[in-house]
Amino acid sequence: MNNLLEIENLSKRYGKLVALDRLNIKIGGGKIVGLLGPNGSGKTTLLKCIAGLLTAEEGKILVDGKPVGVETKKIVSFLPERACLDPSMTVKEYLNFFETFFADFDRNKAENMLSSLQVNPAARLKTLSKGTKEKVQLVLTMSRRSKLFLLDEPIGGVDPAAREFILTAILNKYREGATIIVSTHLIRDVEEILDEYIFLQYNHFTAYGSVKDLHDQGRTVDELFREAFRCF
Amino acid sequence: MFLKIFRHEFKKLFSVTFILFGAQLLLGLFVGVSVRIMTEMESALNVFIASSLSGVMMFSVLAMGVVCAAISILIVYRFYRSISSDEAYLTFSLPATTKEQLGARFLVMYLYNLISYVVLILAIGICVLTAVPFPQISEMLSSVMEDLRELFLQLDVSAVLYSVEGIFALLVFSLLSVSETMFAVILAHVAAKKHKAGATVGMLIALGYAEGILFEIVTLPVTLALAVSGRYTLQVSYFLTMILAIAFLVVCSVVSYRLIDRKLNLD
Repeated sequence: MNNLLEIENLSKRYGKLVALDRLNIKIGGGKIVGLLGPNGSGKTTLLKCIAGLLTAEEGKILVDGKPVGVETKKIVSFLPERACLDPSMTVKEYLNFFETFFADFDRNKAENMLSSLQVNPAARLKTLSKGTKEKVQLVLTMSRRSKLFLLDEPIGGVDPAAREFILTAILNKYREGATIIVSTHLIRDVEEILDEYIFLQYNHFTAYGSVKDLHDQGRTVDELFREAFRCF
Repeated sequence: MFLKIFRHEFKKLFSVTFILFGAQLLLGLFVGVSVRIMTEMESALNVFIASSLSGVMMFSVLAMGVVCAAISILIVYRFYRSISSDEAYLTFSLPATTKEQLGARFLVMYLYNLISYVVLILAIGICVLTAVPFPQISEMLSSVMEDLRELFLQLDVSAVLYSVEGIFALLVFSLLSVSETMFAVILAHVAAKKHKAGATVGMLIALGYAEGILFEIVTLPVTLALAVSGRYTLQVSYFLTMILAIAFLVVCSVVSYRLIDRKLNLD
């Protein structure tokens, strides 16, 4: 199978602090990958480098064989951890925005998702709760027909019902053949849908494997994570 | 993509500035009407009403200045938000080149600067036209037309040249101010880890001073040397200033582009 994402000797520093240190990985198409690690391990930095929002000092990233740039942004959908939508705009205005700027945006799908989440498209974002804003951002991101989805803590700030909805949305994308990289601390919630896991610690990949293989050994990703990142 | 970004940014800025543009025109009208009332009914007004009116008029003139400043701040703030706040995550996720991203925003800022000048001139025009009694307006307009006709008849090559030079200088300096704004926002975005808004303001002030000092350092010795040798003309200062302004404009634009293209760091 062709690799959708190839990372070779990727390093990123913030001044003297090394955020990512010579990372190497290849991820194939049509997979749900859990990017797991403790706080400050470099998960968000890695996702931002792949999305083209951070410039790495060394190494290269290829998405579908192309270096990160305009062409990869057409096929990569990134959900940042923080709210990046302008609160003065309405949900409908954002639907128009995404439809204008992303050729792969499926407006019908977005409207259906918003309606099942009971979000009023006429509402201004500043009138919505924090959780609802996050849902809107997720709906916009997941309504693209992208090849690669990068989700940074997608289930962190939402209620359990919405969490269920998000996991279903991820699974639907997976069924459409997309690759989804999910960064999260809530491993138990996502474990059932993961194909592969990547552990990131001290700016290095410390483990990478198949979730099915792990389950065959009678172990879970959550257990492995707790062992690997034990605090005492 | 350039046009799409341009259209989006233009609409976005319009939604917050059109109220201020309207307020500017209304203030012009208000000042004009106040002056008219005061001049026409001077004897009929008691001291309290007359002083209140003049107070309100002065406040309105001050408000016009504040509105001007607010429009400029909004133009800078919109650029700052799209490049350096959390909104930048969406900005730089768009499948657009750095040239398209910066070029479209540069053009929007420049156009809004020009629009704000035009609205200010219109507001002053409304103020003058409403301040003068109606019968005198036609007299005033015909006198202005007469002056213009005389000026046109006396027109020589140097007058045309000075006009062209004046327009060119206005164009260059307004472009330079937009370019400096863009440069300050981007430099603060790349260099500052925290308090990016404060860093942007600091950078804008520092750039203003740097530009002034650089202009003095270069133009003063040349001007002095030419003055000593008796070859100094106003044209020399003009061309020297224009060359420096264009050089500064190019440097600010190129460095801004390079910083975003190679050092983009959304933390």
